[in-house]
Amino acid sequence: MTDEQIVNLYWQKDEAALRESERAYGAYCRALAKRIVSAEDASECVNDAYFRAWGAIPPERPAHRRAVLAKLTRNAALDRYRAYAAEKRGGSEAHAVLDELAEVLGGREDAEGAVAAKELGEAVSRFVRGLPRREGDVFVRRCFFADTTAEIAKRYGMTENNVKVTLSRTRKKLRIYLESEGYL
Amino acid sequence: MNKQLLFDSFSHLDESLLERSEAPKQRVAWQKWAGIAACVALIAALVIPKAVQADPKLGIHISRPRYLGESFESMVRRFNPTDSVEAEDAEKWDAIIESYEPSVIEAAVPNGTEGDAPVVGGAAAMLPDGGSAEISLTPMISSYKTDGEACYVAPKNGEVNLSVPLREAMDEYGDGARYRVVVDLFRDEQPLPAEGFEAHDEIDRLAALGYSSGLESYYDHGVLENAYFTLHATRGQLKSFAASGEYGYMLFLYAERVPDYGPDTPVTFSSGGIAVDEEPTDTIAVTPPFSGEHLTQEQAYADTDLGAYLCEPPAGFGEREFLRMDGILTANFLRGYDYVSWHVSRNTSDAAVAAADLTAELIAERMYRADDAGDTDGLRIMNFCVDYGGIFIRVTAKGVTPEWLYSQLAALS
Repeated sequence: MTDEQIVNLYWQKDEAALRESERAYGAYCRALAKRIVSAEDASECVNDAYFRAWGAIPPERPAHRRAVLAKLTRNAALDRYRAYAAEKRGGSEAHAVLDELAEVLGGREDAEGAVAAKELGEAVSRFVRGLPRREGDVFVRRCFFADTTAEIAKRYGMTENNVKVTLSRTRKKLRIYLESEGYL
Repeated sequence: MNKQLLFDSFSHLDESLLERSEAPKQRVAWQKWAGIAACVALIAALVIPKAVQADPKLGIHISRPRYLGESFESMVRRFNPTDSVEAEDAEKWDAIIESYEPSVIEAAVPNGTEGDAPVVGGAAAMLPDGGSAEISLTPMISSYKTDGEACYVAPKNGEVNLSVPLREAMDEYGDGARYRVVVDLFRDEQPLPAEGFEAHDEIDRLAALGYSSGLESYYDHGVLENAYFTLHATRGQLKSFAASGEYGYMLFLYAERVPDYGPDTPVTFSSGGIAVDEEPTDTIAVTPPFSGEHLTQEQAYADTDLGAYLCEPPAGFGEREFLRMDGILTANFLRGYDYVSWHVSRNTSDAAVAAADLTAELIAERMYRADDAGDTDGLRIMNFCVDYGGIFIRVTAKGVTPEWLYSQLAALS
C-alpha cells in the first residue's frame, strides 16, 4: 500500500489506516523511540504516534509522511522520557544527547525557558539549513534520531572520531548562532 | 532555556531536513565499482566484441555477461590502477575485494570459461503459494543459476538493465511465472539508497502502476542494517518496465542481491504492496476510491462559500487540479517539481496567523531555502495558515516568490 493510500485511509477514518501505518512505518518508528525510551515503552509511543496522526489527518495531508510520523513518535517518546526521568536516569541514548546539548548552553541553563520549543525548533532548522549538508545531516541524526556516533559513521562512511569532531564543532556553532539570535 | 527544551526543540525541525538525513548507504562500494566496471568494459570490448548487446525484442538494454574465465578477485587485481603498488599486500587486497561486495557484482557462480554459453545449473526457486483458496499456483522465481561471471555498468537515466540470471530465467519461464526482483536505483549513474526518499517515491509510483513493490528492511537490534527495493512482477511488467526518465534501473533476481539472512531474521516491508508474511500472489495494488469531488476551475472559483478565497493561478503553473473534500476546497497548481497547494476551509488544527498581522516580512521569514534536495532548488513554504475571520487558508508551495504569495494573501483581507 502506498503512502498516499494510507493517508486516504486516514481521511476516510478507516481503522485500517493504523494497521497499514504499522506495516509501513512500525519498525522505523520503533527504532527511533527505542533511542529515547525502553523497548516496551517504544511500542506504546509508536501507537501514540498513530493516534496523534489519526487526530491530525484530516485536515492535514502531510507531504513528508514518514518524517511526520517520526516527529510524532519522538514527541510521544519524549513525553514518556520526561515522565520517567527521575527513576530512569541514564541508559538511553537520549540521555547522552541531552548531556551534549548542555555544552551548547555553556552552563547558562535557565529552568524557566522563556522561549517555546516550536520557535526554538524553527531557529534550529534555520541553523541546520545554513550548515554544509553533511554536517547538518550528522547533527540531525544525533539530535533528532539520537543515533549513536557509530551508527552515524556507518551511515555516512565516516570514522567515528570524525563524527565526534563534527558534532563537537557543530555544537559550538549552534551556541554562537543561538547567542547571535538572542536565545542565549 | 535548558537542555531539555533544546532537545525538545528538535522535534520541530523541518520534515525536509529529517528526510534529507536519510542518507545513502553502500554508495562507496558502487562508486568504486563504477571505476572498475569501466576498465572491465574496455577489456571486454577487446576480448569479447559482442559483450554488450541491446535486445530489441525486449525493448530494453540488456547487459551481457563478460565470461572472462577468471575469478572476480583476479579481475580486480588486474584492472585496479593501484595494482603495482599493492599487489603484494594480501590483507589490503582482501579489504579491497571485500569492499566491492562480490555478492552484488558476481551474478553467477564461478568456474565459467570464456565463450561458454550460460548453463542452467540449478532449478529456479519455485515458491508454491499455499494456505489459501484464493492463491494461484503461479511460481515465483527468485533465483536462477548460470555459469560464469557477470558484471554490469551503472545504467544511465531512463535505462533499464537486467541481470543475466534474471534474463535467462525470463527466457525459460516466460509468462508462466512471476519474478521476485531487487531494483538498484541510479541517478546520473550514481546509486541511490534503497531507504532514501527517491526509492520510496519510486516504490509508490510503481505500486500505483500495478507492480507489487516494496522496501524490504533488515534490522540488527533495531538498527537498520540493509534495505532492498523489491518487486514481484510478471515478465510483461519487466519487459515493458515503467521506467522514469529520472532514474536508471538495474534489476536483479532476489537471490543475487539479498543474502540468506535465515528464517528467524525479522524482515519488514516498510512500504508498497508486499506484506511481511505474504506468499506471492497475483494481487495487484488497488488505490482506494477518492472520496472527494473533483471540480473544474470554473466550478472551484464559483464556489459560493469558499471560492473567493482561492489564489489566482500562478503564471507558468500549467497543470491544475481543483477538488472539494470534507469541507476543504483545494486548488493545486503544478509546474514540474514546483507546486502551489492552496486549501480553504472553515476550520483548521494549524496555528494560524491573523490576516491583519500578515506582512511580507513574515512570509519571507517563514519561507525556507532547500537546495540539493533532489528536485528544484529554491524557496519553499510548508503549511502556512492564515485566519480571515473564520475562513482559513493553508498554503504549501515551492517555486513561487514571497512577494507573489504575500500579494495573493493580502488581496483577500
